[in-house]
Amino acid sequence: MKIIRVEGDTARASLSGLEQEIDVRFLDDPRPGDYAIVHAGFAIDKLDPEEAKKTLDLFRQLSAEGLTPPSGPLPPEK
Amino acid sequence: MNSPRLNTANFRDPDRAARLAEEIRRLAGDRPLRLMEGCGTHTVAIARAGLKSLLPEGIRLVSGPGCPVCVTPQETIERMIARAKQPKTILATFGDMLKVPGTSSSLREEKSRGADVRIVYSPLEALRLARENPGKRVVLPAVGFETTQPPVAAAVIEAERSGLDNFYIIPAGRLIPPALELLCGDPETRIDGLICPGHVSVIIGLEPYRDLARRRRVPCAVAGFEPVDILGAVRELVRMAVSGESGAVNLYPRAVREGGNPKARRTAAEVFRPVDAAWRGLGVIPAGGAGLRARYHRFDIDRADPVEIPPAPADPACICGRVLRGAADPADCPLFGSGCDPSRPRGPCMVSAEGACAAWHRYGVKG
Repeated sequence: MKIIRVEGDTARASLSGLEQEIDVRFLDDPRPGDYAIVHAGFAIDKLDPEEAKKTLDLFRQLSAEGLTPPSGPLPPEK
Repeated sequence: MNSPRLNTANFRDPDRAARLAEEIRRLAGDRPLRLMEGCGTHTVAIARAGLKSLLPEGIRLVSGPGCPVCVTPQETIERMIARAKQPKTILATFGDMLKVPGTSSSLREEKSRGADVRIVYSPLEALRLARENPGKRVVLPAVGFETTQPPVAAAVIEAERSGLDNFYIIPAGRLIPPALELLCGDPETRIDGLICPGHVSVIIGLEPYRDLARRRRVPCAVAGFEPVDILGAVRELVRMAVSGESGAVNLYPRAVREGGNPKARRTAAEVFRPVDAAWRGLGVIPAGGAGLRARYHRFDIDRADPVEIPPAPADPACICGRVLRGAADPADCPLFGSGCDPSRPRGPCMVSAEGACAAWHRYGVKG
């Protein structure tokens, strides 16, 4: 869900145009525009668009190289 | 500055999926491998996207104990139903629990007979019900994994702070890593790799899987819920299994941080502690459940007002227990589709939207 407005521990968030109140007490510095994963009414963490892109790049790179990452298992993502 | 847009469409891209499936085929050769998805949301995603049909015959995706409703033991179900029947009691439950059959009824049946059963989406709604109904007590069956325990704990802490004396829970939370550990050693399950749950991992991070991989020599991949996420995880697990590696990789870094969400874990740990707990199909798992810490015992309805529950034998024809261990497929059950379906479920795996039987039935999965 995308956060629209934050007021203290609660926020308005929307998904496909549907708005909902969520609790954001488990997030660090929630801001409008952040994407959050919501479970049982609580944002449990933010979604990182940059990391999404990196995962796709990684899959593409592995495909291009044919098989395995050069140094064995995939490095831990940061 | 505008935040970058999150584009998940690429994770549903058929070309990317097809390429990954091709690589899986090549990496696996004719080697048979059993990969378990330890998360009900994965089970549903795999069934909905028909991912099994993309995989070579030797690669079996097996559902695990990843549906919170499904792993809740029969005794706890009976306990919820017994509470719903009591006077001046509002049973506030997550929706999935409603249709789970007890020995003689279900929460839905009790509701239709006049019991005050309310569906809540967030534990904070149960708290609100308690505030709005001071003449009644509100009981929340706290079913759920690591993802649900922080929200429930937040509600308990708020109840404590505001001195609310009519809010209770039935502690029924379960912890995923001890269950996965148990199944890794189960000769009937035979796991060659684990697709680790996405949302539980948002909370717990990678360390529990690194630990599991080290001790059980099993490859673990944390994955998101789109087809490309899941196939990417299968690909990496196959590669690791074939080359004899074990370890834990994070293929869902857009949501899962290495250290998980410490804030959410701290809140859960303030209220809950690991306790030995019964799982349907898996028996009592050491440290496999979330029990209330002593200072929050007064929120445990069974301590505040003990109730006698008659023995609750599981339906002998239902094989949910074996399905939850990955020892049987839903279609192996004689009741599957003939005597048990989502409109009249005999076991919890057919009730919950996240249950393996419901997913297979809904999307017509063949073994």
